[in-house]
Amino acid sequence: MKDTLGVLLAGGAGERLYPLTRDRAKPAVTFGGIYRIIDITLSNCLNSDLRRVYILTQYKALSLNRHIREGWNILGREVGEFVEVLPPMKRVSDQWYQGTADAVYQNIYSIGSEQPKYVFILSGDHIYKMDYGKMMKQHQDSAADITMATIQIDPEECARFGVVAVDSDSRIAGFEEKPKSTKLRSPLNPDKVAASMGVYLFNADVLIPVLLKDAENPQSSHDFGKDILPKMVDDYRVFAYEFVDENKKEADYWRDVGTLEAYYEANMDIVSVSPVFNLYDEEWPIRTHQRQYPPAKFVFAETGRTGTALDSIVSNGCIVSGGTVKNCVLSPDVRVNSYSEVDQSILFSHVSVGRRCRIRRAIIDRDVHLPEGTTIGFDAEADRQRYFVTETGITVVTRDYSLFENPVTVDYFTTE
Amino acid sequence: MPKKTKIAEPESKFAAPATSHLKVLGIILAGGKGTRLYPLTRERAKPAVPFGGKYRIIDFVLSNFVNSGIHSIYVLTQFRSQSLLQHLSEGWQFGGLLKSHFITHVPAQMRSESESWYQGTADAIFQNMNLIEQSDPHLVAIFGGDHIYRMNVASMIDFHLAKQAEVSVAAIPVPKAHAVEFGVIEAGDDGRIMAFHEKKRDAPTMPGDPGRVYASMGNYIFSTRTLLDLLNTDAKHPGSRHDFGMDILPKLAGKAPIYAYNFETNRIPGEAEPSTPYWRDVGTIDAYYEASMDLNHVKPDLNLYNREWPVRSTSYPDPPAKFVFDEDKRRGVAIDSIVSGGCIVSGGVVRKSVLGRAIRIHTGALVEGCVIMDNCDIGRHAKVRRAILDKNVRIPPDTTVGYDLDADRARGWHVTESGIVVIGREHSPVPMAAMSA
Repeated sequence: MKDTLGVLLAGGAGERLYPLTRDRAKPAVTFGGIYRIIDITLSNCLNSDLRRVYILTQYKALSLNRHIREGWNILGREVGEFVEVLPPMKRVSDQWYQGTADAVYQNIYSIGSEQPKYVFILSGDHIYKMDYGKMMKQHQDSAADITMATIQIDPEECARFGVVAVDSDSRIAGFEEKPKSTKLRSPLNPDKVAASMGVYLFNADVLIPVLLKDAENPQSSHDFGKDILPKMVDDYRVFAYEFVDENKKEADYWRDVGTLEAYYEANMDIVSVSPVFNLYDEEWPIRTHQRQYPPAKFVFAETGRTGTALDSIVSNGCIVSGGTVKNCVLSPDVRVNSYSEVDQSILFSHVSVGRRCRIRRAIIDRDVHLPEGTTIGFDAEADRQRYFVTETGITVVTRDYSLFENPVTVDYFTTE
Repeated sequence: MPKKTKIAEPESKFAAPATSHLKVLGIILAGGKGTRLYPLTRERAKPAVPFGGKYRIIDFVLSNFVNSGIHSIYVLTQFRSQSLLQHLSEGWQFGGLLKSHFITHVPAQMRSESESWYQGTADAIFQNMNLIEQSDPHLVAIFGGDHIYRMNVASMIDFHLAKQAEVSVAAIPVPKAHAVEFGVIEAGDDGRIMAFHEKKRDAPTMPGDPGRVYASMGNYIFSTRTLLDLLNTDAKHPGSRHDFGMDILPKLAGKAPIYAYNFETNRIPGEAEPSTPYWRDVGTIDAYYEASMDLNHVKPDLNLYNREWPVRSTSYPDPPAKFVFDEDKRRGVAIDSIVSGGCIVSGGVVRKSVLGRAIRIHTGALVEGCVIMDNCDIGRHAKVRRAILDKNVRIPPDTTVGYDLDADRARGWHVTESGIVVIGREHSPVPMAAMSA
């Protein structure tokens, strides 16, 4: 992996995660209590020994930048290792990134100056555990120009994916980008079809000329999946690498948490008794930046006022004080006060739930203070008046920010 | 009716020395053996004993210094310092923006002519006097690393400057009956120290309160010149035990400007109501246990959750704590408890306990009134009561601890007179191929 460069695309706007992406880029959205979505892919890099990583940002990157600086400033440039954010530099174009390929193309000098032999193109908004080293091995063994990671999906789901025609030697013969239906089937399983995971491994001496050529094409939308790869199938050796899940569970886990529903479900998987995506695996640690907080605390043991968390994950600094939390993901420094019930919800950092609240199937963004007696998730119509509610009935509550507003005033658990 | 001492208003909201150009060097004496905390101190010095789930005892004094704006800190160690050293290097290294911001561990280096270990607190400083001369601070704050308390050291510095003192000694008022346990300070109404009374039953009471005495907390602020002079003089004195409390300070009492700083007047930002000052020695298993249990209260005497006075420790890369199973006979819950990162409470019940990091509580297990340190594993249907489990202890399924003390003793566990079972640590596997950084 020494001669390999990772290029992590973290510039997407994440419109379908709105309003969680109102103030932050999608890769910076909190996941699993203490993580940011991008931590999952960056941990894959570290665990795969891929230690030269550029992160291409564009959209609302402050929160993401800060997180990378605080949590991932861990490698040594002097020994040639780095995790480094590249903001748009307008070096080769005056425009914002037009597509995934354009984002890489606009940073072609930065990539070239590292003189890598191989380049991994990764996406910063997927939840999965993958050893890129195994993919590299297949890439080298098959003398490929490009290898693309694929996962088997049900053919009915094909409209959301780029699906590929794979022959029995794993070579890719054709692409269909988000087709309404497909006749393609995986050679490994006749009931499934191979779909792209958005993970590409290029020989650098193939990537660079291809990007240059694409940049000159006015018809191109400059997207790897749509424009670049389909055109390469005939002239280059393009292979599929079948995803090996390092979770080592029965089902392979790879999620594009690009919609609120998918994001919500991925979090709910984590609180289930045996989640497919395991955060507690010492063999595949997930790294993040954590501010220091005291341990979580549970107080009050009276009937009707028991501070407990059931089937939940609870981060440091939380105080569950006489309220009940069930099937929830709690980020650090959350307060749940007496006689409140919070069920199947995701609470971001510094959220405070007042007394006698009833919260169900909600995502509460950071710094939101729910006043005493708040009810969410029981009357979708009423919720819609005040909050953002998805079609599937998940309520998203964000804090009302106003420009130049003072920082949130903190109140202590001693007020409880 | 005893006259209450006047409680001063907090001087400033922000914890920084009154004069911003003032250079203060912090020195922490972290050599405590903690003999009476055995077996928790079998392999670590007392300041390295874990407390409150994710902290070590030394984190409290270090947090006091850093929260008070003292960023130049030496930590002097002597005994069993490996564990402490590791903690300092993992948790207390800050980005080196300024050369004057450091927390440096100083092992005993046998710099004395006789190449001896430290003879006493003053000798520990004397042998490292070059560190003080090098940094040439205005003041040197010499604090112990053995106690659990929160103190705004900036206020004590303000006091030191306002009194134009050469030495200030932090003093906590304690009931007269406890005089025999402490070095007691005899002070005038203005705080000027007249004499020291080491562990005497009839020690004089504090100014304005005939029911209490001033006990020395072992925390000193020295004007640098005075400190160096005192140490040089003391070193030449053959009969000296080279101890601040026993030899050096008593000689100054009544002569030099040496003052007692009343800890009761100290105010922590973010805590409006004056509370009784919290300062625990936790020198015995019983005291350690009680101080731990206090943390589980709704309003504990020691508030770890004050956002304006954070107690810092190592930032561990743990995943969040997790609670699983919600069935009638298999419910994973923690009640009136503190649970650190990486724990999984899986179908077991935890009550009134302090859980360290990465602990597993399996189905049917019951943990009550316990202090459990990192990486312990409580097997299915095991019952553990009033126990302290050091790191990496595995309680096999169906085992009971704390129910039959004779049986517990027979298994080689340490049982205190008050019936607290202490199970010593197992060696932790050191991960060699762990993720970098």
